[in-house]
Formats: sequence, structure tokens, C-alpha cells
Amino acid sequence: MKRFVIMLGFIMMFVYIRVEGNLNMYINTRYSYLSVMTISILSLLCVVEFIRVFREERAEEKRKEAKAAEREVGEVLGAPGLPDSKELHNRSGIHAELDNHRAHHHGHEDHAYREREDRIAQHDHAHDHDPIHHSHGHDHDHGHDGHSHGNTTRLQRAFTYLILCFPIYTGIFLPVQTLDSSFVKAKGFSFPNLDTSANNPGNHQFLRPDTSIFYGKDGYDKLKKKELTEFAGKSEIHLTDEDYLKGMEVLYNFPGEFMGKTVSFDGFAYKGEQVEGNHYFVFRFGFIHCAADSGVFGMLVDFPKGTVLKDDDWVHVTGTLSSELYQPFKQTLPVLEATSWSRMDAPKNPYVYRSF
Amino acid sequence: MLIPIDWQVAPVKAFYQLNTIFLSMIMEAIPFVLVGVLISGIIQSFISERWIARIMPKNRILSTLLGASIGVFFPSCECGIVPITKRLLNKGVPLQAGIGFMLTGPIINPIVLFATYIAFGNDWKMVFIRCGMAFVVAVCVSIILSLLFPEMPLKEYTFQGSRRASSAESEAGISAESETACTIDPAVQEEAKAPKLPAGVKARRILDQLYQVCLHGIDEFFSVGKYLVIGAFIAASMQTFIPTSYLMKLGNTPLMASLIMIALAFIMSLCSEADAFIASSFRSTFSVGPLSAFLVFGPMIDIKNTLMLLGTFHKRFVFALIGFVTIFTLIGSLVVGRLFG
Repeated sequence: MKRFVIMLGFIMMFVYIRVEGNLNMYINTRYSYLSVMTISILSLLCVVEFIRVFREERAEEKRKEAKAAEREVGEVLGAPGLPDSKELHNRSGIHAELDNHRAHHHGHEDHAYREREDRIAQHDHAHDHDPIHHSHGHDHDHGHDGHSHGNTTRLQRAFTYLILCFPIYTGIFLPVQTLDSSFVKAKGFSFPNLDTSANNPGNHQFLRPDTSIFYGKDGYDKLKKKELTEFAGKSEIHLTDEDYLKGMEVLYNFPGEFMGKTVSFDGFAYKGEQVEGNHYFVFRFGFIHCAADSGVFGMLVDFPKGTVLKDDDWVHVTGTLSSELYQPFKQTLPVLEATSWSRMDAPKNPYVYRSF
Repeated sequence: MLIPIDWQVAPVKAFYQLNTIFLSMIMEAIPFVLVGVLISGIIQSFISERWIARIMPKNRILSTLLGASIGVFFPSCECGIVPITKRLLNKGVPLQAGIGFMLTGPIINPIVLFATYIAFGNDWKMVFIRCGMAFVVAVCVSIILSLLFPEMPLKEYTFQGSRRASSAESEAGISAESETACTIDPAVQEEAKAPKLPAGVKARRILDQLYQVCLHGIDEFFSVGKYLVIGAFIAASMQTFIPTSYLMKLGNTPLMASLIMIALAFIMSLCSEADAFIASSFRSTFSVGPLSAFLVFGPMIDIKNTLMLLGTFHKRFVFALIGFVTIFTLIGSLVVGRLFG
């Protein structure tokens, strides 16, 4: 029954997160079918577990009845000189063993096995009985791989259930924490390295352009055409939530195509320790699959003199794309020279998602 | 000025962020684990030991190659594959084939390879490198492990054929035929009887078998689930509290770079469908060799599935497995770096 409750708990957690509309705080909603799949499989297993518990209880009752009846029969047949006494002895031995099994784990199939044992015992010779019983014993073990035997498992099982309850509890009762600049720090993306950009699939091309080894000539051209045509035609590029990641990737892949063009996007400010003056990074967290593989995607922005921003201040920036040798990285980076910018409230959904 | 705020708020916030990462890992892994345990149940109920014995080559190398190839048909990730492997081994699949399957399964499958293709700019090169290296590493590791562990290193090994053969107290007076008769899977017995039965009874039997599949699935889910939860929690903590950037500074030589990418793959515990995108983002820092190490090692071994492995296999075996996978991935990545870097 505990298993039933825990699986139900998982279903509730998944449903709760979906109903609250928080699914996109955890995973890229392109993969929301995964949670639907989880809910349906778990529901099926819940039903099966319920049937199992129900059957087990019924079997328990029947067994009690059968035992009572048997005791009566045993008393009657207990007379000496009975030809079947050996077999009878054998049978009671099996019952003892089965009871033993039951003591260790609530065997749901006991009843079925016993019926079979009884049938066999009635029709077959006692010698044949033994190996067959043996093989059933194995089957029985199979069914209970999950919990092993012995008294220590009581504690272990309690431990298992406790652990499985943990994500259900935190999923339902703890607030969703959006990833922000503090997580950029926690992840240790310090700026002397390329690590802010390390999680940005776009940066590499620009930072080290000789990556043609990764692209076959044809593949490179195809990719270039496909992605470029989406953005290169425009004189002004306004990145929205939907095309943020794709747009950033293109900007970093083909900076030459976009120099001098007007670009605008939203993001939170992040002041790296090495960023001097009115330079801020403007970032958004992007999900590939889920929060676990998320990273920051964005651009270095040169704000007008005297701009003071705190980490996590959300801004909308518009500016001209240029590049400069950025000393901390000792490399040329694309930089947005902000022509105008405004503060904005943090959007309801701060994340952007990769679409394929 | 910031310090008092940090002391009070930051730890709580960091924990909530950790929790968010943790839950997202759970949410992404559980569906695959569920599919894995159901497949495991289906194997238990519908695939007979005899059938496996028939198709499995006796030759050690051939069986390894077969095991390392069937992953193509099981689009599974590294969390779901442990219960499947455990069940296959219990059905009499030899160790080398089972491990070969377990190691390549999460890599050599259409979904993962397609994701790799996309992540690396629609190019097949990285796909072939990943595929080929994973196959070679898996085959080498499997063969060596099967030589080192002649006894099945499973915690609960229930394959009857070998147990009976090895057990000294095997019952006297049982002929060879009766023994095989005993070890036949119930499914086969059912099959043999089936023609005589009316359709209704037959349908009932199948329904009953499906019921058994689900029961096995539940058992398996509860035996594997706790390792998934603990593993995801550790991985999420690592992501939150260990600044991965410090690792990157160390990657000067090809050997160190490969080692660091292996460590990253272990710590990050990414799903094998997503890891190609992360790998491609490291292209600015690392060359093809270390990247291939990341792409091959991650799906084979990471924090999540190490705990699952520890729950299924003996400790010594798990450490040997991790050790050999590390060594061969290192060698492989250095070779790849030489050939393609």
C-alpha cells in the first residue's frame, strides 16, 4: 500500500507542476510529452499495485479459511496406517515453508502457488513434487527482486520510501526558484575564462573561428544558408523569446554579417568582476532539455556613461553591433553599443528554450 | 555590505535552485526509468532463457559484439538501461554481452545520434566518432570484465540454469530432461499449451502476463528509484556548488583536457540526448579528443547511474567497470585527438 501511495504522490507532483504552469521552470516544454508519459505509466502501475494489494488481501482471507478447513481434515485423517501419510507430511512441510516466505515478504502469489502445489500433490508422486516446487520457489524470488529478504530490509525499505518521498515533498511544497545571476556565480562562470560563453553554443565560432574541422564544407554552407537567411535579410534584428537562442547563435556564428546592424533583446544584467566601467553582460538562461543543462546566453553590452545596474536588473537594450578586443578574455568579442535601453520588470518566464 | 544578506538569504536561495535542478533531473529521468522497468518486465515475462541461449553466440567475442549492437533497437538512456541489463543477465545473457549492451545502449541509438548530429552543426563526423569510439570502448571493457569476473557480479542472481549447474546440492535422481523442463520459462509452457485453449482463456493469460509485467515493473521501479533520487541530488549539488570553471583552467595538455571532460561528464550527469549540445558549447575550449571523451564517458558512467549500478552489482565490479571505462575512454580520446584533431 505504501508503494501505491508513493506512486500516487509522484503522479500528484507531476500533475501539480503542470496545473500550476510551472513545467517550463523545470524542462523545455517541447519535452512536456515526457511528463504526460510519466503520468500515464505511473497511473497504470498504480492501478496494478492496487489490484495486487486487493488480491493479496483476498488471498489472505482464503488462506485462513483453507487452513482452518485443513486442520479439521488433518484431524480426521490423522489416523495411523493411512497410505498417503508421507505425502501429507510433505505437504505440510511446504506449507510451513510458504508461511516462512510470507513472514519475510507478503507474497501475493502464494495463494496461486499453493493451489498448484495442491493440485500437483494430489496427482503426482511425492518425488516429482520436489523439483517442481523448487522451480516455483525461484519464480517466486523473481517476483520479489525489489525487496530482499531478512529483517534488516524493514529498515532499508523504510529508507527507500523516505528517499522516494523527498522529491515529491520538495516538488509540491518548496517554491520554484528561477535561476538568476546568483546561479551564474554558483556555477562558477568567472569571466577571466571563456566560461560564460562556454555554455553558449554560439560563442565558439567567433572566439576561435577555425572550427571548420567540425563542419564538412557542405554542412557548413547549408547551415549558414539556412540560419542566415532568417536573420541576415533584416536591417534590424529584434530577438524575441522564441528566436532568442537561434538569433544569438547566428550573431555569434557570423558576426561579420551583422556588424553595424541594429540589434535589440531583453535580459538580466550581470556585472562580471572583470567588466569595467559601463560594460555589463545581458544574459538569459536558456534550456536545451531541462534546468540541469541550462546555461547563460547573451552579449556584452556597452551602456551609456553613468549607467548603474545591479545584477538581475532586467533591461531591454537596443544598439549597434560592433566588436572590441576585450582585455579580460584577450579576444575580440561582439559588443552591443547601446543606443537606447530601458528597465523592465522581470518577465513571467525568464527562460528561453531551444527549439530544434 | 552584502555579507549579512548573503548569510541569511543566499543559502536558502541556493538550496531552492539546487532543488529546481534536482527536480528537473528527476522529471527528465523518471519517464525513461519507467519505460526501462516496463521493458525489463516484458523481458521477464515474454523472453525465455532458451531463446536467449539459442541466439546468443557461445564465442566470447561474438557475444560481446552482439550485445554491443542490440542497443540500436532500445532507445534507452543510462537510467533506464540498468534494470533492463539486470533482467537480461538474470535471463542467462552472458556478462560480456550484457555489459556491452549497457554501455553502448545510451549512445548507439537513433535519438541520441540525431541529437549529436544537430548539436554539431548538422555534421556526421562527430556522430561517427562518438558511435565508433563508444563501440570500441564498450567491447574492450566488456571482454576484460568478463575475464576478470567469471562469476556473475549481480547482487541478486537468479538465473536458474547456472545456479543449478553450480550448486553442489543439486537434487539427486533428476534426469537432465526433467531439469530442462523445470527451467523452461512459463511463457514457453503457456505457448505449448495455447492451441488447445479457447480464445477467452488465451486472452486472459496474456492479460495476466501483462499484469505480471507491471508487477515486475513496480518492483524494479522501487529498487532503482532511490538510487536515481540520491544520484540526481548529488549531481544537482555538484552543479550548484562546484564551480566547474576551475576545472577548465587545468586542461592544458591533451591528457588533462580529456580527464577534465571525463570528470565533467561524471559530475554533470546529463541525459545522453542533451549532452551533445553541452559538448558542442565546449568547442571553444577543447578539441575533438576531449569532446569525444565527454560524449562517450557521460552516457556510460555518471553520478546517477553509478548509484544505480552500486544497487545492482557488487561494489568491486562497479569500481572495475568505472576504472576500465575511464582508461579506455582516455586512450580512445587521445587516439581520436591524433586522428581528427
